[in-house]
Amino acid sequence: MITCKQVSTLATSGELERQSAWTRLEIRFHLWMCKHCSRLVRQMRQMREAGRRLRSTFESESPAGGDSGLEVRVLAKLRNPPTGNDEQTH
Amino acid sequence: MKQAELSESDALARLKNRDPEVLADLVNEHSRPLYRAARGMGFKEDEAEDMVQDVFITFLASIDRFEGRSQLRTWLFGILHHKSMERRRKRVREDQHDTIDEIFESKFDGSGSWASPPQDLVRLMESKQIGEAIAHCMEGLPPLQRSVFVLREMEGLDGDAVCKILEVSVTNMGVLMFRARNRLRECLEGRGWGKTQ
Repeated sequence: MITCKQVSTLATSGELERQSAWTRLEIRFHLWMCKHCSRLVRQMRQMREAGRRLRSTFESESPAGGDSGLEVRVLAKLRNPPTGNDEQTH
Repeated sequence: MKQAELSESDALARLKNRDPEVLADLVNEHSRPLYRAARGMGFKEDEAEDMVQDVFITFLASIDRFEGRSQLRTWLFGILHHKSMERRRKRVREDQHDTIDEIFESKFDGSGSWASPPQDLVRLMESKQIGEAIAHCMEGLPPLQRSVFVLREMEGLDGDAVCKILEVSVTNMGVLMFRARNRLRECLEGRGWGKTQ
C-alpha cells in the first residue's frame, strides 16, 4: 500500500500525473482516506495559485504599465543594437 | 500580421532580414512573459527590462542556430535563463545534498506516515499579503529551484519546455520542483500563516 511519504513525494515533485493508472488509483484512494495528504495536495494547488497571483503583480507593475512602453523600448534597442559580441551559448 | 499566420520558416526568414513587422510581432508577443519571468527570478524592474532587451538582441544574433527543434518561446526563455545565470556571476548547479530533503524526511515516521502533518494555508491564500509572502519566500530559493517554480507555476510552461530551457532531465526537474515547493511550504508555514483559527 502506498504511504503518505510516497504520495507527498510524488505530489510535491509534480509527478502524480506521470504515474501508471494503477498507482494513480492507489493515490486517489489514499487521498480519500488521508486528510493530511489531501491537505498537502491542496497546499501544492495553493502555491500554484500564489504563483499566478505573483505573475499578475509583475504584469501590473510592468514598465509597460498597460501601454506599450516596454515593447517600444525593446524594439528601439533592437533597431540600434549595442556594439560588441553578445553571443549566447544556448 | 501575427506570427501564427505565417509559417514558422517564413517568419524566421523574415526575422533574419530584420523584417520590422515580424520583429514587432515577436517583441509584442514575448516581451511581457520574459519580463515577468525575469522579475520572478529575482531581478529588479530595470534589470528585468534590460534582460528582455538582451534576450532579443542575443536571439537575433544567434537566429541562424535556431533550427525550430524547440518552440520559439522555449528558445527565448532558454536565452533568458542563460542571461540570468550570467548576471548572477556564479556557478549555479543543484547540489546532490540539500537540507530541505532532511526537513521533508523529518515530517514522516519510520512507516512513511505523517509525524508532523502539513498546515492549512487557507488564511494565507485569503490574505491580501499573499503576493508579498510568496515573493519573500521565493527569495530563499536557490536559483535553479526558483527558475523551475517561476516557469512551471508562474508562467505555466509544460515540463518538457522547462527541461529544455534549464537543460535538465525530467528527473532533475522533479527534484528541483520537489525542493522548491518544500522550501516554499516551510517558509509559508514558518511565517505563521498556516494557522487556521
